Amino acid sequence: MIVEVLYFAEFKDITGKEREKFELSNSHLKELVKLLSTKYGERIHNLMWDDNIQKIHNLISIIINNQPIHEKDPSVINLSDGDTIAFLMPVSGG
Amino acid sequence: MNDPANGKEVKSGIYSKGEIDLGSIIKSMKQNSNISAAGSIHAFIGIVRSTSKNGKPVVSMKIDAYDDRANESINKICEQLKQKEGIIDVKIVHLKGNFELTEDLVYVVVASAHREEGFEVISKAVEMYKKEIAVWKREDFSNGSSEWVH
Repeated sequence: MIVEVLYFAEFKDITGKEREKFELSNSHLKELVKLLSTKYGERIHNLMWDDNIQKIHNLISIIINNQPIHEKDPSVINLSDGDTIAFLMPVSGG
Repeated sequence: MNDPANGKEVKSGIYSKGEIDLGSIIKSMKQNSNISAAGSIHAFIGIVRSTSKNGKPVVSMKIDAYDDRANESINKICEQLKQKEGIIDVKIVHLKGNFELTEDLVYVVVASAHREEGFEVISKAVEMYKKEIAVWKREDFSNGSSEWVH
């Protein structure tokens, strides 16, 4: 299935893109996290992943189809074909 | 679609730099059918400062936004604050893009029956947008480095 990732702030700087589609072989968010780490390396891995708890960093908000997800373990977050995902850092308005 | 240049209604939300200015927001607010009940219009303008919170010299700034989510939060804040006694209208406009020092980043405009509630609500609106809307700022420093602020 195909999902799309929206990039903002640091994520946009690192990837150089506003959005990107990924093909996943299963429906877990964990596969997408792995693909992002593999494609963009340590900078994006360290930004989103907390090695101590083996989950997405607590300070990152996970948004799927414009709705916040209150779970940080990507192996229990299911995705569907066509989903749009964003990983958001804490906000800092001007 | 809003058309600030033609004096049509300006909706609160995220706009690209150069798309809107304070004058068009106030002009739009004065077209509100209840504006005659207002005795004051208050405006806050957030601009680019030359130093970071830690005192590092800033030379420019980038603002990024998740428009859909930011617009939703901005409208929620405005609607909530408009319910307060004596508040006629509240508009929050946040700009995005690349900015030089002293350039405008955000406008908060409040029309109120009396100045007291206007001062109180504009302060509240600023605190709320800074915490609640999906907007990020990156400070670019004089040594060529940059940092997203959180």
